[in-house]
Amino acid sequence: MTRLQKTLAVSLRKYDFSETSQVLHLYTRDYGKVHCIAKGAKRKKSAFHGPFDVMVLYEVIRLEKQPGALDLLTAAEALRDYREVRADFARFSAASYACDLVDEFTLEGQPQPELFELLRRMLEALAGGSPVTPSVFSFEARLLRILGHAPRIAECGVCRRRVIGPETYFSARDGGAVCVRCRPRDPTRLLVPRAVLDAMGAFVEGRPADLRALPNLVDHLRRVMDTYLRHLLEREPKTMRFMREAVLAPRP
Amino acid sequence: MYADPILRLIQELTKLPGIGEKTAERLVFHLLTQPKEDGLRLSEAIRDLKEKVRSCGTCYNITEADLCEICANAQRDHALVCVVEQSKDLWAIEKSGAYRGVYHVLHGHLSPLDGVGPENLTIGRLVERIRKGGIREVILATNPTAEGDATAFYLQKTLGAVGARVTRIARGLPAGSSFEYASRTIVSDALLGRREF
Repeated sequence: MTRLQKTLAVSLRKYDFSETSQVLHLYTRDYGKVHCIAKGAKRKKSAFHGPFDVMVLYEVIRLEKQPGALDLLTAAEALRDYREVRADFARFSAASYACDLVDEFTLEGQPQPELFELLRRMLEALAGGSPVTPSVFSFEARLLRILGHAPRIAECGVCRRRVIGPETYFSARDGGAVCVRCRPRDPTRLLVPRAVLDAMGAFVEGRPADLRALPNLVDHLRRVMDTYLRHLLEREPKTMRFMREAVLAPRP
Repeated sequence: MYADPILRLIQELTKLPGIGEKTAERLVFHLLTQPKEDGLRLSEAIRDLKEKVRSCGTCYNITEADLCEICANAQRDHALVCVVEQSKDLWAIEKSGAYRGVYHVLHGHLSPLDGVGPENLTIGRLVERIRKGGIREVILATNPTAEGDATAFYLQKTLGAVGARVTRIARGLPAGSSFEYASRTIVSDALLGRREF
């Protein structure tokens, strides 16, 4: 059975399907991630007012098809193209990374309106000139929380006691903090200052974090987040190296 | 089961864009019915394509010689360089007959989603070309997409830092279209790009 659905969507990826048609990965507000075909989108006189682009907020109408088949887009209007992010490669890399993470972490047909809003707010923040580094950390941490992967910060993942002391391990395999006494067996474990996990905890809870609490806190936090995301995805997303350069680059 | 040469050719053809297994089978059986010379001419053409075609030493357009026909043409304005993403974009501009300068082909655009960064394009060679001097203006003619725009802005900063005058092709409503069917982006581009009339 097929039905027409109207919703808001952010385009995560686009592929050329033929000379005139495109296949799109959209993250929709009401239906989660959907894969659609936009027939004739690149034709001169297309019903879509031109080809689809990535990192654009659309209002779309799609015809839902059987599982395994591509949904058919019947109409679309671009509402916001966040073009300000294109003017700066660091912002563009961060926006690409946000779309990539949503694409990598989600399956088709599992609605998460909170994740849609998070992505939309991230693109809006980057377009509006918010600082790249805290925006990326905040996005990653909140995405992990929404998807149920928030790392354990306060308690040791092995002995379950409160983690104390100036340094602590972060073990992706153990789901977060592990105290120094319980030294994790995880070969990817990282020994980091406690302030790093405090900052991560603040981002997960949606509180502001002081990234200048330590001189190299951003580097430590980046290593922790990269390790954890690579562990969850079982590989490194293509956009990660670009995001890393954007986050770690000294900015005025 | 097909004979090995048939299977091999089917496998190779299915690697081409838009060709599935059924189409590949159809093409292979068509080739079997053709005279031997036709098939050999096709294989020779593919061999020549891969062995003789290369990038121009100056602009990275596809060519058979060290320099492409545009770079080798003394009648062209060599102080005016138009930057395009692909050779096919270059030929689209050439067909217009409106441009008499030379080109620089990037061989792609910046796209973190596809793992493409500045080091994967010919941006470094373009900077070298400008540093050598003799270039009056660089026209950015990347596609009006997110990646094309990001590439153009990146080039604007990079080339501006080496002292080049950088311009970008106009964007907005195409001739023959109407406001009624244009998207907000196109209308906004057209208004922002207005000029004295």
